[in-house]
Amino acid sequence: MTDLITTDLVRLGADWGADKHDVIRALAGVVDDAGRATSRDQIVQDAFARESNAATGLPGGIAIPHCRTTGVSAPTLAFARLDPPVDFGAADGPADLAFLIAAPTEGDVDHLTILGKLARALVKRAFTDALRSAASAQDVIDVVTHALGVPAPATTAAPASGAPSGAANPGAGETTDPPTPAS
Amino acid sequence: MPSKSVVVGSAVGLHARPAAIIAEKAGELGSDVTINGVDASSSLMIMTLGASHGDTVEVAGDDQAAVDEIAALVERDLDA
Repeated sequence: MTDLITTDLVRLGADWGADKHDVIRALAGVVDDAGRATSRDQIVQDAFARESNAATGLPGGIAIPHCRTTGVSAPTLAFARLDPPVDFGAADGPADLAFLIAAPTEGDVDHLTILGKLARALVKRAFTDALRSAASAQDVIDVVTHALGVPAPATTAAPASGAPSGAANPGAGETTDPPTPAS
Repeated sequence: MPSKSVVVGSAVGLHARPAAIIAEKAGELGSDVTINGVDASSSLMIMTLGASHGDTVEVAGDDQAAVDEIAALVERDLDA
C-alpha cells in the first residue's frame, strides 16, 4: 500500500503568499512533483470546490484543504508549514500548518479510517506542537505516522496482487522482527 | 437559523462510515448544514469533531427539513 505521506510531500517554511488558493495550488504542485498526481489541475479544481463550499480552517492554526478527486489514485497527504500563515477561514486566525488531503473517488472505508485518525489527531495540541517543532521532513513523517498509529505493513490477504505462484518457500520471506525498542 | 441538539447514535461515533454516510446525504441536500459548526458535507470535517457515541452535537442550517434529516442520521446507529 502506498504511504499516505513521504518526505517529498513535506515543505517546511513555505512562503506561498497570503491567498489560500495559492497555497492549495502549491500543495497540489508538491503532490505532482512527488509523482503522486494523475492530474494536478483536477486536484486543484476539486479542492477549490470543497473550499468554496465551506472553509477548511480548524481552530489552532490548522488548515485541511481536501477533496475526493480523480487527480490521485491513492490517498495522499501533503504538508506545509506556512510562513507567513494564511487565512483559511478559521475563527481564531490564520493557519501555519496546512495539510492537503486528496483521496481517490473510489476511496473505501479503510481510507476514511486513516483520514479519521488524522482528523482527530489534528485537533490535539500535542500533535500540532510536534509539527511546529519538527526540524526536518522526516520528523514530520514520524509525527504523522505515530498519530495515525500505522502498524508495520500487515498487508496479508491480498491474493489478487498475485501471490507468487508456488513461492511458499519458507525462509525466503524476510521475517523482520522489529527490535522492540525499550522506550 | 434552525438548529437541533442530538445525541450521536453510532457506536463508533461520528467516524469513518457514519461520517461518510452523513456527508453524502448532506451533499445531496440543497442547503448547507453544519454539525458543531463544521461542514456536514465533508466526512473529514465531521471526523475532526471526534464525536463519540452518546455525545451531544448541534446540527444547524438554513433549512429546517435539511437540519432534521441530518439530525436524524446523527442519531441513528449508522455502523450497524
